Amino acid sequence: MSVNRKHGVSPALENRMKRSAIDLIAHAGKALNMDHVAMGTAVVIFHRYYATHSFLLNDKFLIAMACLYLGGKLEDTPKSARDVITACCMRRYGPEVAGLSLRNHDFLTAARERLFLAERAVLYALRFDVAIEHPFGTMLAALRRPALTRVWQEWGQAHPGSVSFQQMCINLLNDSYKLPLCLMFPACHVALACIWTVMKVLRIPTRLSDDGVTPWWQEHGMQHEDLKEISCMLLERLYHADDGAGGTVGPVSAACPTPTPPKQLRAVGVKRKAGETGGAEEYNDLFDELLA
Amino acid sequence: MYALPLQTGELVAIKKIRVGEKGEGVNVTALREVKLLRELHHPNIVRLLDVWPSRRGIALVFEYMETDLERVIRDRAVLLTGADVKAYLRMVLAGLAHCHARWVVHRDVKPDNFLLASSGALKLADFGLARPYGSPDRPFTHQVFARWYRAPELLYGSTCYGPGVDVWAAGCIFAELLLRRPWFSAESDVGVLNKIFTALGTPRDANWGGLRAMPAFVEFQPTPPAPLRSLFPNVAVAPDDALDLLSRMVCLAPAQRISAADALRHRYFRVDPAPTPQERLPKPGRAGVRVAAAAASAKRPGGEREATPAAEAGGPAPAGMDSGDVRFLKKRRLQMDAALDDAADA
Ligand SMILES: Nc1ncnc2c1ncn2[C@@H]1O[C@H](COP(=O)(O)OP(=O)(O)O)[C@@H](O)[C@H]1O
Ligand SMILES: [Mg+2]
Repeated sequence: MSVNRKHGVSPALENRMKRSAIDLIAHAGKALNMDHVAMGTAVVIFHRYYATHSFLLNDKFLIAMACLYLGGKLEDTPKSARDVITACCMRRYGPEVAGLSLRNHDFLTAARERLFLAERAVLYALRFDVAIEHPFGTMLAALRRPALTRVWQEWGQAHPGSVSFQQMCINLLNDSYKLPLCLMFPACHVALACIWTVMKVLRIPTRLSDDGVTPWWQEHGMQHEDLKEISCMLLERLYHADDGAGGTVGPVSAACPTPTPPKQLRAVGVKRKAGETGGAEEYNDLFDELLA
Repeated sequence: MYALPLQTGELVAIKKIRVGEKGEGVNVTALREVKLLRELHHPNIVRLLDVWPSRRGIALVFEYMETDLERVIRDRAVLLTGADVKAYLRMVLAGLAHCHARWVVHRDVKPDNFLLASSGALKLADFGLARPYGSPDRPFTHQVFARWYRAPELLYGSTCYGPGVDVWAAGCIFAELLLRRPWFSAESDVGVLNKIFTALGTPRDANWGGLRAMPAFVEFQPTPPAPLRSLFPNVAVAPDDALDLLSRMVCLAPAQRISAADALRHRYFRVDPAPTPQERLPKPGRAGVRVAAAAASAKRPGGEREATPAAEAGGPAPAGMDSGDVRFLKKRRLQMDAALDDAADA
């Protein structure tokens, strides 16, 4: 049994806690001008930490802050402890309260001490295994393959004005960071599964191939089983709000293709257009540049 | 799970890094070294076995390396044949080629960062300055490398350079293996440039686009290159193929410089004599080690190393390290304790 279950933290509560902490990482990271790799690393190490640590005993705000601080250091965009604390407090307490505290020298000193302690706690928990893989490169490379290029071109022509196929893939990939998939699957597999999922949801045949033999997703040792497994997790955990994990399913907007799109599609496709999902959406925007 | 070397009796080297010296938590340099070494696995790159927490910082645990290339070069008692030089250079290039294939520039290539294992394998160490490259938006600092090993583009202040800087430094090591002294040693950047241009000729705009636009460009009196043969007259250790490869490694214009991978495919490595098998490579004598150790007393902040026979380290518990279980024997350069020496002294 996991530590969190032992401590009576239900899966739904655990999920909600993670969501809000990851949200904080995304917003504070953006305020600090950190890039998507640094923030992605921060989120991955956050998941890794709480895979073995209790939410009841480890302040998620503090740990999230330490993960962000470490993400910057590990990905060569270090931010000072002071800046990280400021950005996180601003996000959490709002400018007024945070501004007051941050002007207090003792508060800042204490916060720094705690941050440094948390930083080491995270490193120890990770056993210094800090080389984090990210799925962005794999996704972009896959989308450039002939078989998939045809898919998104055709999709774009058939649905002018709608969210592009690539954008849906990237949205889903960004959302995938909210799940601890990084603990279970290699980053490249998650990337491929995101594309596959979007194709499934859009009812695009997935049996495509560049050479007419090997399926497009068959690289990096990807198995069909894993593909389905990751895909199910993504759809269930991200977009079925019942277990407290969801929350990105918003009102259907004109962006949705006809006829009667499945619920999941709305979740994947609707966000950027309608802009109704707040935090999650901004996190997605960080990766827009990937499409450029 | 971590296989602790402790049960095996294997010797390890420990680099202790204090936390919080600059008030910014765990040292970024150390984190970078850990991160990169976790990804780089190669017979010519030093193995990071583990990282331990310690009371005042973190401790990087490396496989123990007997000596380093600088001591080999400096030890007058060591005779280096053409085959030996070839073997060392091949290991230097193989380590670098592996880094470059993984988009890592080392940026501190010099003889004392190539460590020599008792097996005779030469391994690249000290990744504190190493960085991933390939994202052009992130400018680099040109304050890297020991001065004598800095490529001309660095001396000219470039902030967007690539793996060619490592190849240049490897070329300097190659020359140093042949000469048995540093090639471009001088007290200042301009002094080094001067030595470089005296040997290789001044760069010409036609060969090096954007030369004059370099941030720290200085014009030198145009000089033609000296024939390399006149600088390396010993044909036995430096045959023509060797000099041809050397000239490509120290090509002034970074764009035309040979890559580490291509250098390994150079004719030099295919013709006789074959590189000496690593177990037969000459090593500096123990006396040589001691002299070098005593002579080099310079301390640098940030790093502190000790080596200990793993069997004596008192178990994997980090506490064991701080509580004096690790025996200190002899101060070596950069506070390196050689447990081997220790055992010998005891
Ligand atoms: N694995 C090792 N085994 C034995 N000695 C080592 C090892 N690693 C480093 N040393 C010694 O410690 C010195 C400094 O280590 P290095 O990693 O280069 O740190 P710094 O960043 O301080 O230069 C080296 O020149 C070498 O003499
Ligand atoms: Mg060094």
